[in-house]
Amino acid sequence: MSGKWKRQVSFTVNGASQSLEADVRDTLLDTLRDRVGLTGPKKGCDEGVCGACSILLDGRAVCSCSMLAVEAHGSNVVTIEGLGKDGEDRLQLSFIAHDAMQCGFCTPGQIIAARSFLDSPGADLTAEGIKNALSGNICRCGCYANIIEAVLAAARSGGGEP
Amino acid sequence: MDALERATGVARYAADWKKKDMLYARIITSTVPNGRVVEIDKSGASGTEGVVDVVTCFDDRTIWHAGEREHERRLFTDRVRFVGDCIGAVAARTRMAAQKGSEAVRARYEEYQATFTIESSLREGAPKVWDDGNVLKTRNYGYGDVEEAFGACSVIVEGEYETARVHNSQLEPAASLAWWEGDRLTVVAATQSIFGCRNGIARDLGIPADNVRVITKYKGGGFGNKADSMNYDLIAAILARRTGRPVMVEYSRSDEFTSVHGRWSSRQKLRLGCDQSGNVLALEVNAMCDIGAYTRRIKPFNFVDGAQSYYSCRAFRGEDAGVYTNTPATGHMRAPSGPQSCFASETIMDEAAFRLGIDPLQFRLRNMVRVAHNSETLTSNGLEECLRAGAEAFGWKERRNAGAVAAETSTGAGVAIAAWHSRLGRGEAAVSLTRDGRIVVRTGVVDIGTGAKTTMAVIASRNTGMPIESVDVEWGDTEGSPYSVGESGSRTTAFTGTAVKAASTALRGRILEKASGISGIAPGSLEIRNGAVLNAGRKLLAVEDVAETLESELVEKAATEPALPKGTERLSFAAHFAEVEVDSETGAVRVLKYVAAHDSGPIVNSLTATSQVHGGVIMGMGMALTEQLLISDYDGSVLNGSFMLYRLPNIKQTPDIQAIFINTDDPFGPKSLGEITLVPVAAAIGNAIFNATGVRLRRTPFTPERVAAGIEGKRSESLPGAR
Amino acid sequence: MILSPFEYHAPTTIDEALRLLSDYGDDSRILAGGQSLIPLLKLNLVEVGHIVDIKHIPELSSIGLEADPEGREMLRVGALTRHSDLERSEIVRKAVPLLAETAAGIGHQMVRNRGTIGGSLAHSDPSADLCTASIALDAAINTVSAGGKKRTVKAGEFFEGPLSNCLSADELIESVTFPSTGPGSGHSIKKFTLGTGDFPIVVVCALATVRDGRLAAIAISIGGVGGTPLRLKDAEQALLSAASPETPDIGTITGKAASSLVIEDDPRVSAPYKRKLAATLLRRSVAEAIGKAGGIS
Ligand SMILES: Cc1cc2nc3c(=O)[nH]c(=O)nc-3n(C[C@H](O)[C@H](O)[C@H](O)COP(=O)(O)OP(=O)(O)OC[C@H]3O[C@@H](n4cnc5c(N)ncnc54)[C@H](O)[C@@H]3O)c2cc1C
Ligand code: FES
Ligand code: FES
Repeated sequence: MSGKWKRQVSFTVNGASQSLEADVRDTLLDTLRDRVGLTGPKKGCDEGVCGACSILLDGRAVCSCSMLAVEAHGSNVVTIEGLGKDGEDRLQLSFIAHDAMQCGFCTPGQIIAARSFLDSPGADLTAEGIKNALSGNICRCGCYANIIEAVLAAARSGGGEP
Repeated sequence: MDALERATGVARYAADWKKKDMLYARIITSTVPNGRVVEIDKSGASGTEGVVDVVTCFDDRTIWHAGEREHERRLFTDRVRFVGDCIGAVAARTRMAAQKGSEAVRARYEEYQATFTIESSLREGAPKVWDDGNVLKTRNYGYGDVEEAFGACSVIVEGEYETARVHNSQLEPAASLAWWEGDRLTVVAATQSIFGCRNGIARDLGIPADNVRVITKYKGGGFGNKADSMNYDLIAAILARRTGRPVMVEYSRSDEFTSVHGRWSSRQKLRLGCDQSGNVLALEVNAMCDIGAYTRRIKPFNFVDGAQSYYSCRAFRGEDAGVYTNTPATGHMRAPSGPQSCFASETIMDEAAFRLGIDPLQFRLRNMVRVAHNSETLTSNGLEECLRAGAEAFGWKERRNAGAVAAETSTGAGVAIAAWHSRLGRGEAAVSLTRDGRIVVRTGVVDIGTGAKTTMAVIASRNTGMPIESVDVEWGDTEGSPYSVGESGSRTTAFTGTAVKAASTALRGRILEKASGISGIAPGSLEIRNGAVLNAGRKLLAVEDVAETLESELVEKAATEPALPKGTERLSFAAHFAEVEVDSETGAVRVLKYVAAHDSGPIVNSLTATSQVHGGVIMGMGMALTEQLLISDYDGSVLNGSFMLYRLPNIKQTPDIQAIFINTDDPFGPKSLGEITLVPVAAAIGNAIFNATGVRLRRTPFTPERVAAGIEGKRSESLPGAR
Repeated sequence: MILSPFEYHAPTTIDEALRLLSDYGDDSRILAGGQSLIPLLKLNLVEVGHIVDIKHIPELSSIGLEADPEGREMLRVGALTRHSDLERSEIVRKAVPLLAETAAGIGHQMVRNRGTIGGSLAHSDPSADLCTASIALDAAINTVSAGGKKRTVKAGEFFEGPLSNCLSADELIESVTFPSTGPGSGHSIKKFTLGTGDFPIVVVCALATVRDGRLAAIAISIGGVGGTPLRLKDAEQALLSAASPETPDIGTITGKAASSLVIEDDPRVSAPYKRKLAATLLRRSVAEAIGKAGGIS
């Protein structure tokens, strides 16, 4: 394969610098899963609709399946594995306490989207606001009611800061 | 139980596994709906950089037994029956190479005429999906003299109802990783049933079951389409054997829609008769279901399930048939035949109540099944309480629309009831006390989301007397686990739970014996509570102290297979209440409030049971309002095989949902729950739309366009002079 | 999965980007937020030799107010302004609230955190929220092409058909300007989708100004019915001329506008139903905008 289709990508993933040679066609999702060895971001649709692949890119939730790895060059990427100090923050605990997951496949994406929402200035911390912020995270197990409760509870207890 | 692993992203689902030298595989699929592969040119694929192996229907003739109920289905078939039928597979060093390789394979077909609908499959001289015809076994069932009963009726309602084809669409796409060590095969599968999967693979590959190990630690949902062995498990195993390397098969989202079965559609003709005071006397159901080119072999198997199990009715006659078409396969999805039939029968019941001028809730209270299902006595029946408690919590009277239609929106309330099998079956569990004082439960259960693992821990905790924090559940590996039925058909709690209970109870007895040996007090005077051994309410010693004296783990195994006494039937019941708001112009429907009252016997874990109910209601809302797998009338292919176009329920649609449990005291313990939660939803919502607008919807999904058309029809009906 | 290879460029200046675009012409594509382009690449519907990622050009992301030659307040947003920036920016919310509200309703959070206004306009989907809003808002699209040639195109003249517009291959959207909608004005965006997170089936924007209890100005646009979003001048005129002396009959006027629309085939809904949606959304949106502007007495 010709070298011009490869690119050196340097970025920070969960606090650690990473530098790897990526095929320009690779999505960030595949790169995180196959090259960085993470399992938190999931591939539910690979078409930008389900939100299972959500990660924080410079603090904002984006679908890692809908961007190229090369686009992340110079960015700060945080996945579910990197949330909180010991890998569990108040949001994660709140999801557990409210049984806001069944199969758990959507859960990393839900928590990342909720984290991005809670961190955004002027976030509308109501059930309506949460529904708006998480509308891109499909849960086929139908845990929505508990997810709303979990995020509300985390919001009430101070934005879910760990 | 494993919530932390899930919430922190470290839980490993099948596609998260990696093996050294692992190859990626892609399937090669048919581009014609009905025909025969004459020739396959692999050269393009073999010549693609990175491709290691190409296997086709001409190289491998494995039969996939679980793939079709009545006929032999080849894993790779040369006799193709739908666009997407698997004719081969490619293994390559990278995903991209596998994709390119699969696209480079050229197949030449002899094409036959094809059929894509029930009508065209039933026509005289119709193209044949299978040589022995397009109709799969008609089932005739019923009791009583239906014609005589109809003769005694003063009100007879008839209607035709349709439910669309929908898709399981669990969020985790299919994935399977296989490797061989000598003649031993290991498969990391996304299956609901590790033993079913193991046995299926062994049977299809012709090797002893003991040589197959299946591992499933986490699974991203299943809802019925991951039972038994799946073709991708076999494909991974076959390619791994051929290449001598681990092989991972991954399906894309669009592969899922085409290559993994969804729920069959139905068309049902119903006739219902009542006497003047509103007693149901006779019911007749005629159902035709479009089952696609293959219908998965999973039992029990009915295409529809009549309302005769939850209504008292003098005479009943049902007839159902599956009709093959050259479209993707169908099979089980959460309560396989339930929502289809419940939608039809609970809608016609509502129509009858309306005709008779009886409140739909009263109509159901009057006619619901009481003691017996047909001639069999029910082990327990909390349906009446479901109706009463549900109506109370819902505010039935206040939410019913008495006829007010506002300009822009109107609201209304509907009810529907359902029953679901709650059979008894074999379960096995081993429960032990380790030397460091922990309880370990081993079952074959795979935790796919019904919280089975948590439930097993709760049962073990209760019956050993140990705190839940001291209980570990090991699961998801055929090695080291006793047999379990796997998680399908809401049976986990009922089957495995019974075994866990028996083993835990026995273990407690053993612990008490040991404690008695230490303390000198008779076991009968001891009890275990919260990890402590008590005598007359006073703590004597900790179970940990007993554990310390053990030379090895204290193990109790139990295999339970309770049988229902002859002449009895065991059912779970539900009464669902929905309040909707309908936009009178756009026809958009919003569910505002939902109350789901369930009789599933004693509830072991109300937190996870409530989540089950939420999940079923949301999934039912999808079936009712947005979900429909669209099939091309040109070549029978799936037109909307993506999450962009196949619209799953979203958090924004979430209504205020309340779950109510009627803890009936069933002699056999917990009854099924997971499946029935979905069964009455579409009917409850449809009935609510009728109450809001006067529009009767007999076809799912209730798209805004259909609702709007109904409202428009009503308007023109009520114009002066219109008829 | 993207199958066909391309060369990836990440210029840091506009000049550099323009040079790449003019060197590679039709074999190149600008990449902004990627929320339309990446899906097209993954479906292998777009195959190009060169991708020019403009996200490293700082001049393209800014939000600010300025005055036009006549001294009217204008909002200028850089092409790289993300939907979520529009949604949250205090400046945007105050100067052009319809723009903020439109952005807030696009797709889902992750799309809004990545998709840009330049990309949305350049993608030119006939039902895109921002394309429709930009027409009602009289936006001006400021572009630059090879050699630094600048031009400004009115949003109403920008779109030419489904996914097509007047941009040439070596032209880049630099920024978009919107007249501030002053006091006395009210806005509304109403859309109909089949699922949340979906592109709208029909989307309507309305912007009304009421002075002394009279409708002084109104702009109405609709997306999703034809090859481009449309401005409904006839209906605007009818509403304005009916405004004095008596109150306009909004339902009749918008109904007439809906019945004269040319509705193109859509596999998701029938044409008559789409027309009905258009009529409903137009009526509701115009009424809401006028109401928010203070209402007509
Ligand atoms: C799941 C999903 C849901 C969505 N829902 C909606 C919705 O409800 N409503 C809606 O309106 N949109 C929706 N979108 C589309 C979204 O708004 C896109 O962000 C937008 O259309 C494109 O912006 P972008 O920055 O991502 O552009 P890109 O994808 O990067 O580019 C799109 C096109 O514009 C060109 N381009 C980009 N920037 C420039 C520039 N500065 N100058 C010239 N050409 C340029 C590119 O070459 C490309 O052809 C959705 C997208 C997804 C994935
Ligand atoms: S996998 Fe990225 S949105 Fe579904
Ligand atoms: S928990 Fe299964 S998809 Fe959300």
